[in-house]
Amino acid sequence: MPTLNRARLARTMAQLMGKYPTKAVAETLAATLADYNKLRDSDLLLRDIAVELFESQGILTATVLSPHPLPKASLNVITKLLKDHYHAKEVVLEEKTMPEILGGFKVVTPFGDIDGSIQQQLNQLKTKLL
Amino acid sequence: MLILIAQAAETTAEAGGLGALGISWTSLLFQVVNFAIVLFILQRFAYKPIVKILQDRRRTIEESLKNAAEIAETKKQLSSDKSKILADAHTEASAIVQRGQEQAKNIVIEAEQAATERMARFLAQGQAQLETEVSRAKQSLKTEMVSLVSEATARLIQQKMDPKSNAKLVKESLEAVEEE
Repeated sequence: MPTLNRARLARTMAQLMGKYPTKAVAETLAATLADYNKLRDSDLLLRDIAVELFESQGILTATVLSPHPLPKASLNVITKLLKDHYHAKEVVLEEKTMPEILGGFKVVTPFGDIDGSIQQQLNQLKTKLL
Repeated sequence: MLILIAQAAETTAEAGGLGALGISWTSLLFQVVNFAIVLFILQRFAYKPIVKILQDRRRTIEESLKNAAEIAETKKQLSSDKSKILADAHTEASAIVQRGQEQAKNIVIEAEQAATERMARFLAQGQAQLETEVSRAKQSLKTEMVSLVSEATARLIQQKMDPKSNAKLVKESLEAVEEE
C-alpha cells in the first residue's frame, strides 16, 4: 500500500468540499484515514484541510469555545474580527460549549488560538505567582 | 813471660826503699800492667756493650716515657674530645628534640586548622543544604497554595458564571479588542 501524503490529501479534500456535500467529503476522509490506519492523525489533517481551504478559497474555519452559548451579536463581532484580521473572504464559525474555560471565550483557528478565557487568565496569574 | 818479668822486677825492687815498706816494685808493676790489661779487656769487651745496653735501655725508657707522655696527651686530648663530642651530641640531641617538638607542634596546628576548615566546610554545606531544603519546601508550599487558590477560584467562578454574566464578559472583551 502506498504511503499517505497528508498535504496532498488535505488539498484534495479542500477541493472536494467545494464540489460535494461536506458530510460526504467527511465520510470519504474518515474511510481513507481508516484504510491507512491514520485515524490518530485526523486533527492534524483537519487543520491542514482548513489551511488549504483558506489559501485556495479564502474560507477561514474557526471554532469558538465558551462555557455557555454566546449571543448572536458576539458571534458576529468575532466573525468580523477574524475576517478583518486574516483578510478572509468568508468565515465559518463552529460554536462549542466548554465549561473548563470557566468564562469568556476562546477562538481556535488553523493559524493559532485567540484565548480570552478566564481559565487562561488564571493560568497566567498562576505562572506569575510561581 | 809475664811471670818471668814479674819475678825479675820483684828481685830488683826488693833492693829499693819501697821494699822496706813491704811494697814490691815488680808486683806493683805487674799489678799495674795487669790492671791495664784487665782495663783494656773490660773496656774492649764489657764496657762498650754494657754502655750500649745502658744507652739502649735509656733510649727505651726515654721512648717509653715519651710514649707515655704522648699517651697521656692523647688520653687528655681524647678526654677533651669526648667532652666536646658529648657536648656536641647533647647540643645536637637538644636541637633534634626541639625540632621534633616544633614539628609536632606544627603538625598539631595544621591538623587543627584542617579540622577547623573541614568543620566550617561541613557547616557551610549543611547550611546550604538546609537553605535549599527550606527554599524547596517554601516553593512547594507556594505552588500548592497557588494551585489550591486557583482551583478554589475556578470553582467559584464556575458556580457564579451564568450565561448572562458570560455574555457580558465576552462583550466587554470583544469591545476591548475592537478598541485596540
